[in-house]
Amino acid sequence: MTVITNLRVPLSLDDVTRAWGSRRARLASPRMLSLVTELLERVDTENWLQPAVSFRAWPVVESGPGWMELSGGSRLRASLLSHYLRGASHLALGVCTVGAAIENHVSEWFAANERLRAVVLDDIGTFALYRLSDQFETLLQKEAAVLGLEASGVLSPGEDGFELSEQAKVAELAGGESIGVSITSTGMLIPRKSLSMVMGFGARMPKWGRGERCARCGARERCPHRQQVLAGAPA
Amino acid sequence: MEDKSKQLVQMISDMQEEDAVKLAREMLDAGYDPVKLLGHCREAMEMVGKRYEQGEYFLPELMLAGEMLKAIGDMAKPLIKQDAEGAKTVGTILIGTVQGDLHDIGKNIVTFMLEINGYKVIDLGIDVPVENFVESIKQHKPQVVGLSGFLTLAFDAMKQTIEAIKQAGLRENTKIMIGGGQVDETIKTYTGADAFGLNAMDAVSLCKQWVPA
Repeated sequence: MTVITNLRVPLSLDDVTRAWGSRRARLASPRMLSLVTELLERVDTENWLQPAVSFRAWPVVESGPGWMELSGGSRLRASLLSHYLRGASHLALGVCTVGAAIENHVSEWFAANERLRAVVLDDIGTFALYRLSDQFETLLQKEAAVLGLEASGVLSPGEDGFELSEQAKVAELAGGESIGVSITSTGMLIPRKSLSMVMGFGARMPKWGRGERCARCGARERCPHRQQVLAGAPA
Repeated sequence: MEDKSKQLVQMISDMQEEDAVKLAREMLDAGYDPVKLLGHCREAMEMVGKRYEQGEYFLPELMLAGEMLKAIGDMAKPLIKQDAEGAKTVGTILIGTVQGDLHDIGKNIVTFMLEINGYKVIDLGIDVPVENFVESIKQHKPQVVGLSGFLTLAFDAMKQTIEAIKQAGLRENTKIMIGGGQVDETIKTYTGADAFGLNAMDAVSLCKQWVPA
């Protein structure tokens, strides 16, 4: 298992306004811009982002309709996996997090009725998490290349065809605990600003970007993050 | 004063926080009716709500407008006589994130938007056991209960909560709305709720429909 904690997730005012700008007809007000600037500075100087990733590439020993079995006997059940990754020789299972500091401050600020700050900081935390997951995806592509293999696009528990109940297994096999990520009985990752993911490694793997994942997501029409995520996503 | 009231509505809906609060202070100091002033704030909030629905504004703007209303309300309310229309609480809403789910952002936003629209909100927090909802309904007698949950597994907890409310004989006089994640008409039917909301403004609209001012 590989654990990396010395990561940087740079975020600037431009990043935030570009992400916001893609989904709003009006420009953010000066008050909003100064708040974002202030919060980004605090995030940076007070180390509120504690990015970390853990992952492991598991050899696939067998697969069938709706399941894939890994060396060691663990079986992941998801029609999405067997549909997209059936040619994979390995499944790379990973977890990434930006840590708990941001969400703790968001909760504190809501409790103190500082709701605007809480909502803007929460948005910043979400942008940071997606940026980290982009970095993580690139890192896993390099891992695949080291093995002489191609990496597929990313799949995550909670997507249509990949039940959230599988998240506990993914997080465990990825070594989530080693970076302080735990899971509730209902499949929620703690800290909440965390993601788990699966990528197929193989001779020829299908590739897709976040845009295609968004396009097939049942919540796409109402997702507040869809466009902003796309704004910062790799092509 | 009519010009100033129009200006106030414009400032709030255009997110000019400092100018709006300053103008409201000036109007109150000049003897402007605080109930009318709060009426202008509601008008502005409706404009903000429309811009939100049309995709011009997003959550941060809703929050900023809400904060402006809160600041102006804090100045105006002490000047309103207790029996005046503007001082009344519109109704009581009980809200919480259902058992097994720890998401709280959406619930907190709905709570705030309901409060600035004049509702008294009892917020039970996150991961709320079914029995807490039932006991709190008995205690506070809300007109509306809001069940929040982001996880798909939360839908079962919503269903169980609504069934428990029904079994306790409290369902008939209580409207129940659900929100969060992928709630839709199917989930509304599955859980037995009266309605679902896609965002905080939907929640406010439902409450206005069920518990009009």
